[in-house]
Amino acid sequence: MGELHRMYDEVPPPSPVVLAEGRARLTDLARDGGRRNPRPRRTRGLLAVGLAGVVTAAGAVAIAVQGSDGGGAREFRPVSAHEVLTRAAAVARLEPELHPRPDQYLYVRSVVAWGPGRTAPNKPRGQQTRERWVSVDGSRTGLLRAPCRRQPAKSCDTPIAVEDRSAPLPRPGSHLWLVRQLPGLLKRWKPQLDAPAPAATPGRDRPFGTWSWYGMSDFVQGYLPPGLRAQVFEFLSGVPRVKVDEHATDALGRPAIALTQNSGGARLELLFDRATYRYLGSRFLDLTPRPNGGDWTDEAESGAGEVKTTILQVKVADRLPSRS
Amino acid sequence: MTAEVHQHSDKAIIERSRRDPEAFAALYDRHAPAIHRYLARRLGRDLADDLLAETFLRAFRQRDRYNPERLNALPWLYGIATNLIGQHRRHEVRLWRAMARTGADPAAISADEGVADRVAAQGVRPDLARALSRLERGQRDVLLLTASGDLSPAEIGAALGVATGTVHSRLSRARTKMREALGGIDPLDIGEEQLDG
Repeated sequence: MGELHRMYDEVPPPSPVVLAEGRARLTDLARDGGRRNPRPRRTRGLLAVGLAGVVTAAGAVAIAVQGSDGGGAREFRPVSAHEVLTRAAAVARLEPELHPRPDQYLYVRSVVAWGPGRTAPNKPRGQQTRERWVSVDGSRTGLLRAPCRRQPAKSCDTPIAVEDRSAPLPRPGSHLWLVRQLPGLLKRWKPQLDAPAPAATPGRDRPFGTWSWYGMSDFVQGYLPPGLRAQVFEFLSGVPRVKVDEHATDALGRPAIALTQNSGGARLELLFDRATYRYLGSRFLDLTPRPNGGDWTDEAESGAGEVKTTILQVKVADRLPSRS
Repeated sequence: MTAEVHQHSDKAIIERSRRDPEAFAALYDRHAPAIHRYLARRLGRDLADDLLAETFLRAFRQRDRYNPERLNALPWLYGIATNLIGQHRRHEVRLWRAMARTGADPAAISADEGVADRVAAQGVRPDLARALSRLERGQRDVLLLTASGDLSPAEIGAALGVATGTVHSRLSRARTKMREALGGIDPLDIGEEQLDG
């Protein structure tokens, strides 16, 4: 990837307030039959107050909200995990919806940064951009494109295999399957929240019978429709023993709020934009040496004590790219 | 082509919006983030915030002229956005020059966070920004549409209303100029080793 591509990657997405304002202007024009030019609404402040109201209604401390348009000094006050997740849910509902077809792919571009952490002091720091194409209904082989380990200037493609071709479509774990099943799973898992936290299983073969903080991070790491993403955040807002770090950073070094839960010798943090509360990505931190084997050994960050992932772009693709 | 494709294609949304104007908002929901990213990269975030809506308002008014052979409206929207950018050409050039001079990137994360300055000051960014400010408009359009990663050369041609061959020749000339300005480095093709440090 070239420097110009990277410059695009560093542009943050528009704030939900800007998106909502633009949409409102468009629908005003549409309702008017396109006859007159709707004046720009200066509602960013009002919408921000509206978002803040969601938090206030939950009995939380008021927090300054700021869109990407900036302006004015920022003030950050201590917040609870419940507040952050309630606000993140409100913001998620304003995100655009993609409507992928079953025969398409969801494309996710992300930056992964890793470092020594406290369990791997000799692991050098690294960072790379990855692209993933995942079948919407799980019927097709996907693709992971990342810099080659031995020749980082080149890209290497790794197929994402269909795990069980005998399973009915949409296949478990696929986007369509999640859209259909996740609302019911969230209801089923809700009573489990008051029980002791389930053991951490950072592998990919988690049963869907019990919820886990790690599993939930997998769900939000890809694409979920806005309403469903909001439901996940609302579910997580009821999780006890979640800590807040207001001085975290994401894989690009941007300031973030981290919601943290330790389990099974590791910590997984969900990272949210400190100004807009939009979900940014995650940070995985080993608290004890990780056992050998598992899914990690072939990846560049293998053996690192800290791995951060930031989502840069999610869109729908009709087909896989030609092989690099 | 299945009925489902027509149901969800951009073309279908635009056709439906002729009977039900508010249906056009689905196109906004689908493409607004990509168009905002493009506008912000070239004009900074503040102006992008304003021109995002303007792009879609123009598209709405021009929807009767939409080419019904095109399922994907993204090239059309990029074309409208590029025309709007053309109206702010001096502003864009000033931004690239300022970035060359100060290293601060007005399109990236907030300057008050300090990270944008730190990131932009690294490596080839100032030279890259200076070279972009000196490119002819048509070449800059093609280069930055290519870098956006959303469009093929044919789609860029459709966006700008020029032949695909013109896109290739403009891109080739732009890359040559950029390489000359950057000491042989192609800004569309830099090795990942810079990220691994």
